[in-house]
Amino acid sequence: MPADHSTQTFLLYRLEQQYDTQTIIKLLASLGKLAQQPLQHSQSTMKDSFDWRLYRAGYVVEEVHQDSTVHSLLRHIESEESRAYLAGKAPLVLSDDTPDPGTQWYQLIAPVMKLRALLPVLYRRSIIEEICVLNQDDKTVVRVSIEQYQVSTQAALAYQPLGRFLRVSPVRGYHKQCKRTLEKLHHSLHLQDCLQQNLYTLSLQTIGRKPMDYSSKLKINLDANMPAWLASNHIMRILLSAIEANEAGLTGDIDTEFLHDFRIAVRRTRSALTQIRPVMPPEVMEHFQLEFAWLGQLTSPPRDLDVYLLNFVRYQQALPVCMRHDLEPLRTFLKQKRKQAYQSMIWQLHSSRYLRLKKNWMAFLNSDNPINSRPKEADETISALASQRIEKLFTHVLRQGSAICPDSPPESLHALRKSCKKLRYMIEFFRSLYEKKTVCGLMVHLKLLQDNLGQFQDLAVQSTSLQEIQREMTAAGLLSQSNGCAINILVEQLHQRQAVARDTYADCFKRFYESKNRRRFCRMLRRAHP
Amino acid sequence: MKVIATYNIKGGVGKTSTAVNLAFLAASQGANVLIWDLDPQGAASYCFRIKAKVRGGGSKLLRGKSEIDTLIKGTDYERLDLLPADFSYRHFDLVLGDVKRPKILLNKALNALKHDYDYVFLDCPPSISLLSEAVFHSADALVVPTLPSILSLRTLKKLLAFRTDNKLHNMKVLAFLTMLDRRKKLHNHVAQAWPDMGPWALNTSVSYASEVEQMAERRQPVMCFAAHGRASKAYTALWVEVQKHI
Repeated sequence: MPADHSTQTFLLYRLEQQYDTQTIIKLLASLGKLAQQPLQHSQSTMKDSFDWRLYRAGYVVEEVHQDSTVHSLLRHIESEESRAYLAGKAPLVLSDDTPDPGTQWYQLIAPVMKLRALLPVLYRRSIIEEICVLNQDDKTVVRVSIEQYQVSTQAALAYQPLGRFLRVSPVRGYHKQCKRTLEKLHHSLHLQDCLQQNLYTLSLQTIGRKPMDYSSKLKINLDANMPAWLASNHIMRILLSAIEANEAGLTGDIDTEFLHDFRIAVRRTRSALTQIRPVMPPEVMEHFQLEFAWLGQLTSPPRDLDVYLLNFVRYQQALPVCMRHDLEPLRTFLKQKRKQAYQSMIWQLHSSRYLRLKKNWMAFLNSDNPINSRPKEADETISALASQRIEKLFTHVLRQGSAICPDSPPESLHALRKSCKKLRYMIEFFRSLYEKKTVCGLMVHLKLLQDNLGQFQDLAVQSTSLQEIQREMTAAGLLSQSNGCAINILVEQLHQRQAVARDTYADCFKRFYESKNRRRFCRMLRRAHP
Repeated sequence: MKVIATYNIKGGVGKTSTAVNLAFLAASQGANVLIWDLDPQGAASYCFRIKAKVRGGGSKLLRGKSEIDTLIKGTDYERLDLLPADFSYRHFDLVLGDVKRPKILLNKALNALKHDYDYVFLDCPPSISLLSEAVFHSADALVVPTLPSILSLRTLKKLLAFRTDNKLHNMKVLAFLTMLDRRKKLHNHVAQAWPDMGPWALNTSVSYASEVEQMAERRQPVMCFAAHGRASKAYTALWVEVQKHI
């Protein structure tokens, strides 16, 4: 029996089938008056984002269907305490437009979920019989419940039994009574130690799901002595899994992050094809470079439109209050364009070209890649190749960045941005080969530089695109004078923000270029695992 | 954490009923709630079937010599706890009178709870005393159940004057009419004039209802045994209105 249960919200034990409710009631009756609650049947859907954001924060959303009503709870996984309540089903995606953004539900969940949709992870059926042990004032001093659960991956599929459990929930301030109850139950029911795992994790195991089986962050573990071609194939397979994992969410248009993660995986693949190219036969590399370039291009228009719509509230807030409504025709137009762009992209993703690309790519990655078809560099160790590539890219970034002065054209910053991206992807691919602390330090400054360059370029693209969209809307007769005026002011503001980003470039690059960072980089390469 | 005190100098106006019902509503909406029964009569403790007894007595508690955490009891309702009354609370003024800065003593005790609760309801005794002043200093809002009678309104005005005279500008007073009986001419007269009396006058009123009196007999919040009754609806509306102000 646990020595001190005073801080626990409940204790959960597996219960043998032989001990039915009546047996337990008879046992508890010797402790005092009892109040048996009505039997509770309920059906729950446990929800989280595709990339387990709530799980990582220690939470899960439980949508409870009981007695023809539905409500949602934000539950802490370990303690099972509910931290927020919502009448009805939980909204799929929380956004700035969600009604009642001031509620506790929004305040707790929005910072964790951000743009991601709440999706079902598992379905659970439960039957709960609760018995309250009362004192002489008919006050509940301990709660004992007998719980049975079944779980499933989908509502329509067969449910698997999770088991039968006995839960003892102390009431705050009545620990002596709880201790007496536990002693009685342990002695008579021969209870084993209480469950170490929480019910949610146990449910996931039962249906064969592993928490955090998807993350947009790359986790590549490489052995420094691995041949480069083998390491390269391993990286490409991980990237292909990421592409495939996001397909269903993307084609279903569930949330904007599916497309975002899909594009990142495609960009990383393209970068790997370019940077690790010597380990592949040139004709193979060229073919796949073209095909992945096509894939990247067809996803660009929908992503651009997603970005405009995600930024829309910010666009409005940048305008005087009296003008904010004048942007609404723009929002309507963007939504329409987005719908068309998504339809076009989804059609392409169902095309034989895309299916052929995946099939051929997988076939190549799974092939034996015989030694006589590999370039000789393919057999180098991956640590040697990685260090060589990273050093070359780092030097290139330093040179390119140093050449940029206040009068440099925007194209030079764009080129630097592309180089920084390549460097970053390479460090991400091969970070397991280097000292963690040093890599983190290097990435902080690289990310700051990338953020500055990214902001500069994104603002330029946005202002150009919005002007183009304004022309389209004008030609279609969709824009009044006041609407056009609002867009003009918005574009002007984007230009101003772009100018600010340009002015801060020098400072961001200086931090990247400073000797401390360069020493960090040299240290990283020197201390690569042998 | 928001601290809401149900307060009136007069007794028998519905402070405990208000504290118990609003605390229950807050908890049922998902908030973590504590109700502190500051009245030595222990009515709120009685409603929740909890013995009005605090280990070590009220003086030790207020002076910070008892761990407040260990004295709290869980009620029968999820997310709703109670810090019970104790007969020794009648000596609170003596304790407060003995210290240099009496007004902050209650605040210190409440500060220890700020990470555990979203709301703390203080069910105050009927008086104007050092304890009351400590409550004024600590509470985010004073919810004042007010009988629709001349003497009650007079008492309310005294409270508002006390606030002005002592420059307690941050003390939010939220008064509402309680035990309203529309059959009585005077009650109707007061109810009609009520909305114009001041920004502190809440729109919601709680009519006289036997269900509220039954709370003590049943020892439950009114929502638990008369969820669809007038009183339950009135307190629900009251809670919605109070929340808008805090």
